[in-house]
Amino acid sequence: MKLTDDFLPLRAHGTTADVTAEVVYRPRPNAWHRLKENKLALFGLFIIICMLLLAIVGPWLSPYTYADQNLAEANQAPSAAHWFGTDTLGRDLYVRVVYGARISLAVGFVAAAINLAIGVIYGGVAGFFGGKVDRLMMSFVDILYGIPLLLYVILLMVVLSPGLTSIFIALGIAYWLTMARIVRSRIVTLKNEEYVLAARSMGVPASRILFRHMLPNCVGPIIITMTLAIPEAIFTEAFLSFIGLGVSAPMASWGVLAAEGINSIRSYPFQLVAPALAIAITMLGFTFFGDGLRNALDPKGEVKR
Amino acid sequence: MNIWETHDLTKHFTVRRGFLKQNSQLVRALEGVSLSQAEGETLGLVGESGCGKSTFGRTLMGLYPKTSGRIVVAGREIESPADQEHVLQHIQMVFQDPYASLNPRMTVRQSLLEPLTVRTTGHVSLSEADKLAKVDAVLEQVGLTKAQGERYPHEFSGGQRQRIGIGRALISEPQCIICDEPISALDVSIQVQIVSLLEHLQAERRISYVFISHDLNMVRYISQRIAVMYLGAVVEEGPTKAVYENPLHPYTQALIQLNAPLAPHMSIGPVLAGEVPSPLANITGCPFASRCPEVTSQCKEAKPPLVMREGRKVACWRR
Amino acid sequence: MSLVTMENLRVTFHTFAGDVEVVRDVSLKLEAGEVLGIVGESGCGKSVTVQALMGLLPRDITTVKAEALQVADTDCKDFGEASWRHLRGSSVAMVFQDPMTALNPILSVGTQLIESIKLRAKRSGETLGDVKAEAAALLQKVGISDPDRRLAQYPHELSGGMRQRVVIAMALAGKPRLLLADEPTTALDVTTEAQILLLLKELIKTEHMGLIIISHNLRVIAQMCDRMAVMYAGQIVEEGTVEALLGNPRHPYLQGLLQSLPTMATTKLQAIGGQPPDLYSLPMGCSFHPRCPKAMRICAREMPRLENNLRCWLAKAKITPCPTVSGELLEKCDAYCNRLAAANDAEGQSVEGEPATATAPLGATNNTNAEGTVKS
Repeated sequence: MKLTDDFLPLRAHGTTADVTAEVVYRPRPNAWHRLKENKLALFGLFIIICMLLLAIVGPWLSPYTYADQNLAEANQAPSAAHWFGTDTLGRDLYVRVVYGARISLAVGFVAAAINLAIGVIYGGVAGFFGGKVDRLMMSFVDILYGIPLLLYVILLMVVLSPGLTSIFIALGIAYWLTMARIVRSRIVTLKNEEYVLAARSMGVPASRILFRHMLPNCVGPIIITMTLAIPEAIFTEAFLSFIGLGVSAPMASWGVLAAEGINSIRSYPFQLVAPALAIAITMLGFTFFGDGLRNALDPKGEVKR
Repeated sequence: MNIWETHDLTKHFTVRRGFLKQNSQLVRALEGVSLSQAEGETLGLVGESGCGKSTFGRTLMGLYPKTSGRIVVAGREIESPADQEHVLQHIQMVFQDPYASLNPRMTVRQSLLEPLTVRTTGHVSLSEADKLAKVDAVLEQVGLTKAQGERYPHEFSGGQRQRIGIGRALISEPQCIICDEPISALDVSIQVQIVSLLEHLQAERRISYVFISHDLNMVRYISQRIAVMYLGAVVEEGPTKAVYENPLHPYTQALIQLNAPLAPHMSIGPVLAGEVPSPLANITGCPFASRCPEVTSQCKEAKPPLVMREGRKVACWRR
Repeated sequence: MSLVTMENLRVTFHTFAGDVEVVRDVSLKLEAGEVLGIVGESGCGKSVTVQALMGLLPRDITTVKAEALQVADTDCKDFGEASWRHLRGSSVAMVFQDPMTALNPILSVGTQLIESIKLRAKRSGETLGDVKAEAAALLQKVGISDPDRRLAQYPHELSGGMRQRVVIAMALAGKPRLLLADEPTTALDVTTEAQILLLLKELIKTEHMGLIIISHNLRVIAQMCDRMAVMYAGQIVEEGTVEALLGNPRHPYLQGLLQSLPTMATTKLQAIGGQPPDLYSLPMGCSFHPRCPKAMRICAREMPRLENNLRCWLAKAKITPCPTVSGELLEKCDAYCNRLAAANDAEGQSVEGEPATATAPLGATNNTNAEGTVKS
């Protein structure tokens, strides 16, 4: 019997396979799986997390505070007592760098929040309504783009005093523009998608189409723009502080620390090394992670490259 | 009674050209289309790309505002966007591309639930539990399981996604579903599954279909009446059997011959000269005159009217 | 020597979801002047097979293996990118599905054509004559009237059919011996399709080229080809002359495909059940068995080999659900088979009755005797 078994019908003869018989499709890798494959991106994420942790708990690990001056211990090289050495006023550089991380990262995340809050909605509305509304709203963006950042930061400094607040406001004006443009162009593409047409054909109201059908499908570009905007904002803050338009003493951001380090670069180069490294490493971390995210969220990226 | 009627429905799109978009041109997508549909009937709409068959479906549904002409849906004249709700109660749509017509970030259940959630008439009285039960019932009708309702579109094959699309149209309990090339993006082996599902639903619920397709053989199989369109106008319209067995318009004749059933020894053709003219062109005579093998001088001078001939309507000076 | 000899081609894609073999053991042969059609559903590996013939598969994400690969008298088995590029410009050319994306939108038709001609001349070392005249002659050859005016035009100024003609002219510029066409008319209207098919058919005759045409449209294959191969889940399941395959299909998949096309007489369409297979997790045995109405137990267990141009266990089965049988005979046969199945489910019971058809043994070991009773 065993031999004939082979040629007996698998199913009752004459019946076709069940029309809806399920094929179990092996789940395709999602963005997270693809991200996990990208070692550089994971390394970037690791750096970001380390920086965050350091910014939060770092200052408690040291007996000093960022403002403590001790002229007797000025300009000391790195040692067991002062891990990164001290500056010209005898302040512990480790604490100041770690404290600077708080300010720098805060600046970064505020920029991201502004991106999200203003940029996404502004771009979404412009793209969705199109026509005259779109042209008007995007012209405004173009005008803002045309003004150099430095110009209105300096103008702001005249009105307000240099400090964290004015930096936030400056970033607030500048940092949602890219996001608005990206979200707008994405929405314009989505408008022609069949599922948006399908939603319209079912009588879904405009606001629901925008918030339920379109914006959720912009998540990829939004996240990518955000991760790439954060390091840019951090760098801008460092740059503004470096040229003296940033936070004021005794508060320290990385830019301020770098500027102070420059003054004594001949005699005490270590004073510049610590903040410069902190900026460089953080920038690298965000850039690696952002690039990795961009590849992972690309819907066409199913194939390994 | 007719579910819907159109009288001289015309739709022109304006395209702007030039560096400053100063020149505007008219695309004559629909030029005076008068069609209607009876209950439980399938109307096949065929023609080449750009002939206006999809535009007709979308204009009828109110997705595009009409330029002129009349639309009557279930006895009510459709005049303003306020009437849209009335149209959607009676007419729904299934789209061509099952990969693009479902929101990738909504589960199947959310997609099916949406028409019930947003509608301001009809289903308002349904409780949440009733709505969910209705979704499950529709899932079953289109051949999917309840468990599959929790999944996202990318977890399904093309044929299954098209089932979801049909379910989404079905859930509003329309009298008519406009199927805009519902099978042309699917593999041949899956096309028949979808057509069979449509047939089955029609038998069960007496739904009418407007079946828009360029596959003439499938249209012959599924529809009772057929309208052939060319450059925004209907050139021949009548009972499927009559039109297929004895096509009168030269364009219909060519289309039917080009879609001849498969045979081991097939010749290519017939070959019509040239290509479909641009819809931007302003043609005074018969739109088909530039390609017609039987063209006369009269054809180039005036557009032939759609008149009754041998049990169907045809627009040709020679018939 | 054949124009194309491909033996046991295997193509693996390396994806994030793992490695996936999209072409499995495909062998092809093509003579000059012959037209071969490859049909199959999307994802069956037909495009990949043809791309492998031109070395077009991206090297970093694919592995291509073949026991033999010869194109136009050249052994390309171990070709590098440079050798492939040389072959592509001269012996082999491809016509793509979408004529709009196959042409560069910012260059005029003439510029693109002349570039192809110059490339060919550079490769073969011939001295160039009047390239513009040659380009015009090419356009004339593909049926474009007023070629001098067309040469100055840009792709967006041409209609779809005209663009596809230009793409074909560019393919001809290299004077290829083998033309590959991947769904050449799918993006075109049916009236334009007829024009392009006619053109291709004439060119094969006048230029004495070989043509491999990929299509999901059986009508295109029937009109164009001498031989055809049917692919399913990366394998060829049946191959032969167009007359044989369309007139007397042997593989249940091809039979199902042909039944899926409505004809004049069709009153009820017969669908192939199920969904297309997932290449990442193919079923055991024959890839088609979950959807096959004639599946047997062995089909779920062992992969059939391609023998006699057919990859199906039915060829080995003694009692064949024979498509030529009809009426009462078929009912008897069905009833018998159903009883066999039922008996097998009940394990070990013998079945009484006559098989309606007892076809000649095809070499399989089978202890069903001539009367068809099964001995346990």
